[in-house]
Amino acid sequence: MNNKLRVLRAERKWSQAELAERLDVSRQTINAIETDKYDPSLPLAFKMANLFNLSIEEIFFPKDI
Amino acid sequence: MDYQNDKLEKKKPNRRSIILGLLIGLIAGIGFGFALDSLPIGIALGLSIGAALSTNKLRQKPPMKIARNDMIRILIGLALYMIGILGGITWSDAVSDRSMQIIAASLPILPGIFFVYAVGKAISNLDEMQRRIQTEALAIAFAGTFLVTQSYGLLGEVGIPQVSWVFVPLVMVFFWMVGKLWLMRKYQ
Repeated sequence: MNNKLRVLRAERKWSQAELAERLDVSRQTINAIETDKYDPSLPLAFKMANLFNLSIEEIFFPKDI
Repeated sequence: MDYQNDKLEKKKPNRRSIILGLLIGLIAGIGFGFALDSLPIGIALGLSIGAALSTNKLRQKPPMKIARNDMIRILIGLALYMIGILGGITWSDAVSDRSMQIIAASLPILPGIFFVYAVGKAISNLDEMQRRIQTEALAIAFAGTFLVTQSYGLLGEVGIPQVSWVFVPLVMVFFWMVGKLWLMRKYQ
């Protein structure tokens, strides 16, 4: 699964630590998601979508697209 | 502010990591003490390992942030467990009655259960990826311990000298730590 979390975060000028705090996860988790090493759970994906005012599909998309 | 890529930076070992390393070393030392039949040598060996861990591996900024209350609970559990082990050894040596020796040797069970509960509680309070790392590390520890103990057990059948059961949790902790370090690197 790919995502544009890093782009969305950069647009808001948030650090990984700042985003992690807003989502109540560790910075390591944010880093792993941004580098496509870890796919978040559905509840966390919804939390991200809610934070950025986007739908999940606008943040996450399959690798072959 | 660098928002492009925040790499996990290193920092000097803090007091908490040193204390934690020494406590891990003390527990390992008691195990070594049983195995080597010399508690002072075992504790010295364990403390050296703990000190090395705290000043080397734990120098990295801990990506797994364990809540303060969870850490306190773990440390209390660890301290009670150590007191239980040392008390159990001392008490069982002091009494001659068989049933009292069994009770004395069972002394660390209750604090041991509390320690396991404290670790479980701390893991359940981690975030989802950290929980995954811990779960996978425990699976590695289970598989590694299974392979080592079974292999050594079979080798014992052909004359390899047997070692104390106290080594089993040490092997498990070793594989847990190795697994955790590898997985933390993998997801970094």
